[in-house]
Amino acid sequence: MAGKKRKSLFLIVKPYLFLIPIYLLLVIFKYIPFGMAVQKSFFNWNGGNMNIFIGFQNYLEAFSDKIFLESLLTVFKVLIVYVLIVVTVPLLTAELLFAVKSAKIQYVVRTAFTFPMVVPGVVIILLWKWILAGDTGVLNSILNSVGLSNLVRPWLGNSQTALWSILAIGFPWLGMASLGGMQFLIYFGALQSIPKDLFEAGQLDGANIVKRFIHIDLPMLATQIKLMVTLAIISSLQIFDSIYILTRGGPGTSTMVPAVYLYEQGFTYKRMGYSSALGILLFIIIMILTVLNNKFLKSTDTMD
Amino acid sequence: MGIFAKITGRVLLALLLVLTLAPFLLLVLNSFKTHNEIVMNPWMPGTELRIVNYVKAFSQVARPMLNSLNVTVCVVLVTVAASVLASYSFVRYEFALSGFLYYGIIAMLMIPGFVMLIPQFIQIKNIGLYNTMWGLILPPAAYSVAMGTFLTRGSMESLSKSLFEAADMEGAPDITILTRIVLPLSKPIISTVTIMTGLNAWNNYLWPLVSSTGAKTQQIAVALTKMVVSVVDGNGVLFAGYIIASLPLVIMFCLASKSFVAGLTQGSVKG
Repeated sequence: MAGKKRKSLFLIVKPYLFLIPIYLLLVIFKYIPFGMAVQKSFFNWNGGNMNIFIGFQNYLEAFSDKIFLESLLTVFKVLIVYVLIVVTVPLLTAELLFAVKSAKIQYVVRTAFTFPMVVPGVVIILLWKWILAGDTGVLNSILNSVGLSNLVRPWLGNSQTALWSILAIGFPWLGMASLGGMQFLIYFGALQSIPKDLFEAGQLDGANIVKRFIHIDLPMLATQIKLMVTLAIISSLQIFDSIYILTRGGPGTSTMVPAVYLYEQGFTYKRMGYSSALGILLFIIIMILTVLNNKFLKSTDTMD
Repeated sequence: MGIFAKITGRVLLALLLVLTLAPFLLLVLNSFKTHNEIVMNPWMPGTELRIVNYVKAFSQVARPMLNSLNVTVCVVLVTVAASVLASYSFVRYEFALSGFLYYGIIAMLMIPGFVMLIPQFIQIKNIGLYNTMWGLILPPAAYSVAMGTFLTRGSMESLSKSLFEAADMEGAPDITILTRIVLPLSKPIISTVTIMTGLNAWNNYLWPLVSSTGAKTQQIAVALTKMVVSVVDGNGVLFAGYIIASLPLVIMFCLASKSFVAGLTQGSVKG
C-alpha cells in the first residue's frame, strides 16, 4: 500500500520536473530582474549604495522629460516605417518571384534574397555607416556623379536627415526591418502553398493579375501579414543597435529612441532607478500597443 | 499575363536583386584594397589583392570570434535542452497548472529585452557572473527559450499519440521515449530553433556590451565596432574583419539553407 502511494506521488510530480531547467533560467534571469525593475523604479538608485525611496517621482519626471517624450515620438516614426515596409517590399518581391516560372531561377533568387539574413547586423550597420559617410561616402559620390551634388550632405551628421538615413539602411528593404528577407521567405512560402485550383478557378473567371492578387493572394496571406506586422511593431519599438552605433541618439536628440535613452540613463548617468521606471513605462506602452494591434487584426478577420 | 507585365516584373526583380547585393559586393571588393584605392573608386577592384588586410583584421577578430562561438554553442544547447524538456512535458502529460506554466514561459515573448537590461545587469553582478562566459550565456538563453518552447511544443503536438501509447505499453521510461522517439522526429523544428537561437546569440550586441569587458570575454558584435585601423590601412582592414566575422554564418547558411528556409516557412504554412 505504501509503495503504491509513493509511486503515484512521483507520477504527479514528474511533469513538473521537466520544467525545472526552463523555469530555473526564467526565474533567475527574467522574473526576478523584472520584479527588481518594478521595485527599483520607485527608488532613486545609482546601482550601488544610494538607494532612496521616492515613490512615483521617477514616473512623474518621465512624463515631463522632454528627451524621453521626444524619443517616444521618434520611435513611433520608426514603427510606422517598419510596418509600411513589411507589408510592401517583401510582399512585392515574393509576388515578383512567384511569377517566375523556372523553379531553378526561383531557388537561386530566393537564396540571394535570404543571404543578408546571415550577415551579422553589426556588419550591415557598419557597412552603411561607410556608405552614408560625409564627403567621400559612396552615396554622396553617386549623387555627385549623376549631377545631384546639391543633395550631398553628411547624412548621419545632420539632424534633419539622420533618422531617415538610419531607417534607409538596407535600401530597398529599409530599416533592417525586413533585411534578410524573413518576411519575403514567409510570404513566398505561403504563396507557394496556395492550392493551384484556386488560381485556375480565378483564371476561368477572367481575373487579371491585380484581381487575383486582391481576391486570392491577399486573403491567403492574411495570417502571415498580420504576424509580420505584429513582429514589426514589437521590434521597431526596441530599436537600439543601429541608433547607438551610428549616432548615439544624436545629432542632438534627433535620433534618440527609448532603448538608447534607457541605456544612457542607466549606464552613463547611473540613474538606475529612473532607468527602471522608464523601462516599466515602455513595457506598459508596448503591452497596450500589442493588445490594440491584436484587437485591430482580429476585427479584420471578420471583415472578409 | 501580358509580355509587358512580364518584362516589367523581371526588370523590377533584377533591380531589387542588384540593390540588395550591391552593398555586399562593395564590402568584398574593398576589403582587398588600400585606403586610397577605396576612396578613388569603391566600385572597381584594386590593382592587386591586399591579403595583408585580412591578416591584420584576423588578429583583431579571431579571439572575439572564438568567444562568440563558445557562447553561441552553449546558448543553443541550453535553449534546446530546456525547450525540449518543457515541451515534452506539456505535450505528454496533463497536469494542474500546465496552462499557467506554459503562459509563464510564452509571456517572455512579449517583454521587450531592454526593459530588463538594468536589473538583469545588476542581477548578473550580484550572482558574480559579470564578465564571465555564463553571464553571457544564461540571460540570452533565458530569452530564447520562450520562442524555443513555442516552436517545439507546436511541432511535438503533431506527433501521433499512438507512438506514446505503444511506448507506454512497453513500459519505456521517459528518457527512452525522449531520445528514441521524440528527438529524432523533432529534428526539423530543433534545427529551426538552433538556427534562430544561434543567429541571435552570435549577433548579440547590447547584452555583451553591458555585461562584459576585456579580451577574454569580448563578443564579436562588440569587437567589430571597436576595430582599430591606421589611416594608411584604411577601411579595407575593417571590411576584411567584417567579412571574416560573417564567414561562419555564411558557411553554415550555404550548408543548411534548405532546412533553414524549410524551418522558417514550416510554421507559417500551418498559418
